[in-house]
Amino acid sequence: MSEIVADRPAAAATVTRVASGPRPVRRGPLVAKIVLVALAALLPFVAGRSWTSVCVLALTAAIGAIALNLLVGTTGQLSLAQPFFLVVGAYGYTLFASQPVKAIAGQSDGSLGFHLPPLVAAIVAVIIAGILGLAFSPISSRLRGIYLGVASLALVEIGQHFIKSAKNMTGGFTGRDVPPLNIFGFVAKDETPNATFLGHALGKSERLYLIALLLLVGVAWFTNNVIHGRPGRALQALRDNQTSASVMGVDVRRYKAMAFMTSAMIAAVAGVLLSQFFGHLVPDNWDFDLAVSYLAMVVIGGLGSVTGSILGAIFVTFLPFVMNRYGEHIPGVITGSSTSGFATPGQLSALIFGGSIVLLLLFEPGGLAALFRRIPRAFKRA
Amino acid sequence: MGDPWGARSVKIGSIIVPQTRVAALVLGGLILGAFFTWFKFSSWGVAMRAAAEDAQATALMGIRLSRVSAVAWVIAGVLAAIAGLFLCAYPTPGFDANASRLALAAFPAAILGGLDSAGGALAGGLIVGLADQLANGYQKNLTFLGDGVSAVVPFFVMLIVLLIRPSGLFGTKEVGRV
Repeated sequence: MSEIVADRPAAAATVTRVASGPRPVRRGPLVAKIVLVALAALLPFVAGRSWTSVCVLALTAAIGAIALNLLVGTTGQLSLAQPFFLVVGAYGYTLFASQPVKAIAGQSDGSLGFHLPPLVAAIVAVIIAGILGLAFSPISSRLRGIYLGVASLALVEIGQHFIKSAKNMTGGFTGRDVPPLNIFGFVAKDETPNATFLGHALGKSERLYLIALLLLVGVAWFTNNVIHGRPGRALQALRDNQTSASVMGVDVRRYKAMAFMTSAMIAAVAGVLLSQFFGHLVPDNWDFDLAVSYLAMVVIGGLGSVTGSILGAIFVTFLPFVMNRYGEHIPGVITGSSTSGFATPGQLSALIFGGSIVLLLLFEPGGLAALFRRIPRAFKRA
Repeated sequence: MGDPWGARSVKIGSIIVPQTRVAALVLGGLILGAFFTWFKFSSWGVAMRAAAEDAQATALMGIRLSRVSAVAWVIAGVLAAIAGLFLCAYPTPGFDANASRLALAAFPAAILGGLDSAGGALAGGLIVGLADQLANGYQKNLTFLGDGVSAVVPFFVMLIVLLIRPSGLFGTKEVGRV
């Protein structure tokens, strides 16, 4: 494919951005952000248990979406490899934190394990994801567009194959139990009796929620600084026009490799959290569909925006849950024993995803983030 | 209406082939030939190739990009529907919600050959198919790579090709180097 063809979408993006002016660096008042996080930290003690666990999933997805958005939105590198790096985080953590099991004929397969302290195991898993991301750089820094998209799909397939084949590391089809995360004595599991806070038990979901929130705040802060700092400018420059970026002194291939590595490491953080959420790892959760749902989060939320990634992740995670829970009140939805209707809650939420992506691309290509930016403006006008 | 071929088959030499497969082969050849002739010689085909090469210059030449892309989508839809017709006819077990996976399997082939080259797509398809079948056939000698390695082999081949030729085997090389 010629340079010119490959440049087309990027060129179009430049035109729209010039038309709307440079995006202002919006850093809302710090106090408002702290209050928001504090309120979010209280959420599990107000909401019920099932809501809390969906929130954990949403926070984890938000971390993964931020990682993908750094790559797809800021750097303009289409990647479907997200499940692979989630796998590295999840299985890597499990492998390093688990105790080895001695092979007993007919009883166990002799699972490997390094029995590291959980926090160290998590850090090792994240570093390994970074190394693997860097090892992919001969491909990720040379390819663009759909070529990179399909090439990164290869990683997903290889990851799936690895999970199913390397049985003594991953447990194969039967899967493997995940040891609970332990951050300086704060263990992500149910204790008997559970500590209580505001009359609510501080159980596994609540603990995981707090850990995920803390990590999300850290990742969001880090990524925001990267995007608005010097590296972010370089990444946006090479997204809009590789040639002009390299003329201005941006080492294009190095920056692309770095973006891929950073994204891989953040995704591995999300992978570690996901492994905690599942508690038991099986191969089915990490396939192509997961890659697509992460892309959906990024596109719905808004390309190149940290806030957008979070909003998109919340939308994509909550929609099927809400549909399942309140589906009976929506006319035409098949729930329980009733057979009349046009769609199951899952199908309905898939339809809403598709519809919302089309509508957003037609009317607000900036995604939910841009939609949210309109709200204060609308108030000012009124 | 009814199925024109049903489950009948013809005997060519000593090989028994279902009639649907013969029809698919003939129809596929005809459609491909017609499409490439049209793509190469008709004014619409020229407009389409121009739009792919440089959208802005094409628009300045007075070609309506929106119509060109609409026609492209129509053709893509029609061709995919024809493919779907033969995919669900005898002797396949039929269609289900996982059919989207089929398109996924075609990706490595197209990328490997080079996206903007039709001959490349054919060559890529052959390479991917051969690699897959070889890995399947020599499964016993490849057990050190794990079970079902034939599913990953096409992707490995694609990665290796992309390492050496970033725009596929027959794709147009990028002009700019950064």
